[in-house]
Amino acid sequence: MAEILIVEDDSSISQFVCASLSAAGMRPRAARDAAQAQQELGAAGCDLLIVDLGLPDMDGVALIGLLRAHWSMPILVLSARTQEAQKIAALDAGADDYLTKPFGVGELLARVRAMLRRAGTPQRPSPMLRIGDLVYDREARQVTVRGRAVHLSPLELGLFDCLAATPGKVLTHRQLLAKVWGSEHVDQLHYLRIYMGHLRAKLEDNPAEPRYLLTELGVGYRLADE
Amino acid sequence: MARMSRSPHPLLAYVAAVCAPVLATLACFALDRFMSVAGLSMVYLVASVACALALGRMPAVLASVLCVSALNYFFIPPRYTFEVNGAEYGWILAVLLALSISLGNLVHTLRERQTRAERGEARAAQLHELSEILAGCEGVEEMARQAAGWMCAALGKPSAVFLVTADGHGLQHWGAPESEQGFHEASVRWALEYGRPLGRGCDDWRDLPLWCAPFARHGAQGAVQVLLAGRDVPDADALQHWLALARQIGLWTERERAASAARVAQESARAEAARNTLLASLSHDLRTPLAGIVGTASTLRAQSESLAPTQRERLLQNIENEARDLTLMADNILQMARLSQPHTQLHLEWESVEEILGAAAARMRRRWDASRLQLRVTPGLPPIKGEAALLAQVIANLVDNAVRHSGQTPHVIVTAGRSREGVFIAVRDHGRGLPQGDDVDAIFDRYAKAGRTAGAGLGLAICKLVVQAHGGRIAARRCDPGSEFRIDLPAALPEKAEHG
Repeated sequence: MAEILIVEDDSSISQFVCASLSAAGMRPRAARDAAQAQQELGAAGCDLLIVDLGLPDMDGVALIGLLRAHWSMPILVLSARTQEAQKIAALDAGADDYLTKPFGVGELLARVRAMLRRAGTPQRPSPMLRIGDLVYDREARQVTVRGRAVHLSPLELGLFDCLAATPGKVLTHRQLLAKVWGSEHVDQLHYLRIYMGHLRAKLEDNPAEPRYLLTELGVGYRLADE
Repeated sequence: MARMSRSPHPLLAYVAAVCAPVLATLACFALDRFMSVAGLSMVYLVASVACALALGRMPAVLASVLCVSALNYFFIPPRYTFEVNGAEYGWILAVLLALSISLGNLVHTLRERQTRAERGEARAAQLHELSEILAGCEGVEEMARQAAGWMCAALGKPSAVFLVTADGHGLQHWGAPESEQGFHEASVRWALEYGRPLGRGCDDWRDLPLWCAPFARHGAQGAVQVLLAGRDVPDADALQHWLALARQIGLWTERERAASAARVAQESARAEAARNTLLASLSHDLRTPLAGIVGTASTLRAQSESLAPTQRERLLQNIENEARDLTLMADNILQMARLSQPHTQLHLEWESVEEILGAAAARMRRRWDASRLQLRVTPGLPPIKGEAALLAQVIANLVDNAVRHSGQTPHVIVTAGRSREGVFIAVRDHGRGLPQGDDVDAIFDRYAKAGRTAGAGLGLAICKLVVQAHGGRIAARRCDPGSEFRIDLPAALPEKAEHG
């Protein structure tokens, strides 16, 4: 059974998250602040951490940076609408995914399950990635849609490969730009927009409403994982 | 009294004062055969009177002394000596001297009086000109800048106007010419503290190479400073005038400050009124979904047993929908507060309209039946500079508005394509349309409501604020059936991405 630690100072959110996680067969524990979270983690560890960005005793982004030095479990960030910038900073600091308040229990469980699934997969991913009609051969670096091979330019392939390394995980604009174009280009957002446009034009049936290459508005992109 | 010509240059006047007796002497030699000494003395009298009229006091005295000496030397017996034979000749000489000197004095006094009158007239004209310039200015800063420029031109000396800043402690100055760096703040502070002028020609700090005077004796609002070069010491008369100019500037700036304070008060009253309208409309808009949520939740708790599962499901769905409405409204209130700040900075990034519409549509589809919303995006739209979350919110508001006004079976089409300036986005509904009669653009004005349906007023007001902050335009028009809201955003082409 998955052990999940929720760090959230608002008790009604904490309660509803705990209730829905235990109803879904997981074992949630709650911490009210960063200090208690560190205590809990030190005592028993956990398989997945849910962290609210507005903690009373510590900046959520700083806490994530601190935890990442010792722990590798997936981290899900809860953020309010006013915390757009902190949300991105948290992802850049090592958080794996985010939910913006208010969120429904459906969204919460989907994220948590996907994160646990990714964390549980072996270090060497299988050479073939299948999402709907799309198949990616990691070794041959070849994308096929409905059996038809799609030719991608080296940069397009680099971008796709980056997203395909962790299907379902959000990658921020900065992370993608740093990996594909190099760290000196992290501010050249339009490179990313243009190449994402190319990729979608080649892979999606309806690029405006993508099935595979999903937009996280103002944050980054993720590859659909099912 | 006839107008007198201005005095010639002093050196020229003395030369003329020497020449006139010489000419008179030459004339007298020519007339010597026909006239007695009394007649000749009249020639000298004419010469010295002429000098008195034309040359000023001291040259006139010199001319009359020379005339009397020449008359005595050349023509009064014994001739070619300065001796005087007989009381008659002595009398002639004395009268001539007394007449020339007193005439010279008289003319000098009259001329002084006239120049003073002329200067007074010129100064009155300057005061008038200054006040006309100040009357045409908007704002105290503009006044100070114009006044300094005018002073510099009118006095021919570098001048500056200092104003006490709004907090009452700082000093800000406008100097002319603008390149001039030598204005002196410490002297202004002194003048403001003691309420009197200082510098050259004043009682205090007469060694400073400047003149500085506060606008008024009391109430430190500002001061005027004039830089004085070398040995330039203005006379009391000039200082009096400069003081009048300073008072004039003070009067106008004070009037302007009072007027702008009144304007600020009026504006804040208007803002207060707008805030009250917003609060009133918000509390109405918030109450409606809240009443739904509270009522439905209490029904579910109290009558859970007697409700059919489908009814329960529907009530729960209502709670969720109402709560999501509240979320959109909370986002709108948040952005309204942010965008209403005077100097809000948007976080502009290169964004793709296609992505923004896609993300907004994905969010809307979670709420409404997917078939009710159609997205038609022209491929290959140019990127725009924008804040994605704000633009997505605009789309969400417009679609929300369209669905609300569409009755039972909403059918909303969102189109995006190229326009002349960049990119357009249009949201078309097939509902009951915009209210007849009104100006269609009035519906964007804050909190105006088409038919008083909850939430719409604030949402459209936000749309207008956001689109304008992006340098774009938003317009509504009536269609048959329904209505269309169109946004035009300017495109800017980024540098080309590296090809791989």
